[in-house]
Amino acid sequence: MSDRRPLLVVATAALVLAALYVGRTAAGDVSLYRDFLTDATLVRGAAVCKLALLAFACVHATQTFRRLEPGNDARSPWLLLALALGGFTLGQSILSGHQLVFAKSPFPSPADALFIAAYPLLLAAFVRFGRAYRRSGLPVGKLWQHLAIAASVLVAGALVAGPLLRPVLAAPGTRLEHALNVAYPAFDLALLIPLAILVRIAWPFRGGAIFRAWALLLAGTVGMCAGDLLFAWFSMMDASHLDPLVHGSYLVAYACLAWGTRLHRDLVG
Amino acid sequence: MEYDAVIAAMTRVLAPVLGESMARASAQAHGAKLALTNGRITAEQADALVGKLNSGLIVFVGRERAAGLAEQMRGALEALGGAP
Repeated sequence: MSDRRPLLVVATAALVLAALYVGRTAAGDVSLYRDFLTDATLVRGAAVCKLALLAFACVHATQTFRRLEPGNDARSPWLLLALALGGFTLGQSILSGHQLVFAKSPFPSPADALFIAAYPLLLAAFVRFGRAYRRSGLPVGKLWQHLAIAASVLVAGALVAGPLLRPVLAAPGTRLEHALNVAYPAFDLALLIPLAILVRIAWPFRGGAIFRAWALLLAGTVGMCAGDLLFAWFSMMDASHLDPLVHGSYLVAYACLAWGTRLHRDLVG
Repeated sequence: MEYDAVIAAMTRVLAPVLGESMARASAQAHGAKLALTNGRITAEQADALVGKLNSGLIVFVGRERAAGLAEQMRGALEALGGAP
């Protein structure tokens, strides 16, 4: 059975919820959100959508891995991506369970261990994608160009890391909260390096099916990084009224990841 | 076969997957690696170009889909009157 319709339904629901979250932040305490679309209702809806989208993304990445023949340079990065998405799915299942029962997002929680474990896999997957695509022989940029991009992003990341993380560290919180709120953005900054190289690789493909798949995949990862950063800031700086923006970022990010992996799976056959 | 016509035919086949710009750039890059220059090329040279493109496509779309695209490129070459 084709999974296009369930994915379409969940992705649409996620985007509607993301828009409602943005409206919630902009409109404040209006009757619509106080009486009907309460925080508990939205967080439960988002919990279901996020979990389903991550599960879709994990399944699609696994299918792509299985469809690529042994010896294909892109096979191992697809496996790593599938494992990373599996880690995110498991972590989200813990969070979603808690959110469905208590309508609250626990932090820290065992889910964080799974999320943190998934990041190195995601990082390794993206580095290996870059290497595999460079070896393809298609004109996706030379090694020195990719190294120059990596160096530029590294310098830019080092410059913004201090201003981004200093307020998080200065805010009150337990040692574990501080560690996690530094670890997530630190992983995100590291991810930006292979991500920027993959943007360089994908850009010349615009207009083609490969570009559509990778544009969504990369947009999803950027959205996830944005969600992590917003979460670190808002949770430590007592700006919980901005939580809807965090939920909105993750919803859009996971919808992009699910759809991008789906498009790529269809490309492979 | 005219080299430009071969590149154009391959670009048409590959554009839906690679995008027109990458499809043309890939065909031209592999053409240059095979030392094919503007002017006329033989059917065997055109087929070698298909083979080169096919090996690059495999990484992105897998062996099966790449073989399908290679088949389409050979069909397009045949339409130009130059299949080996």
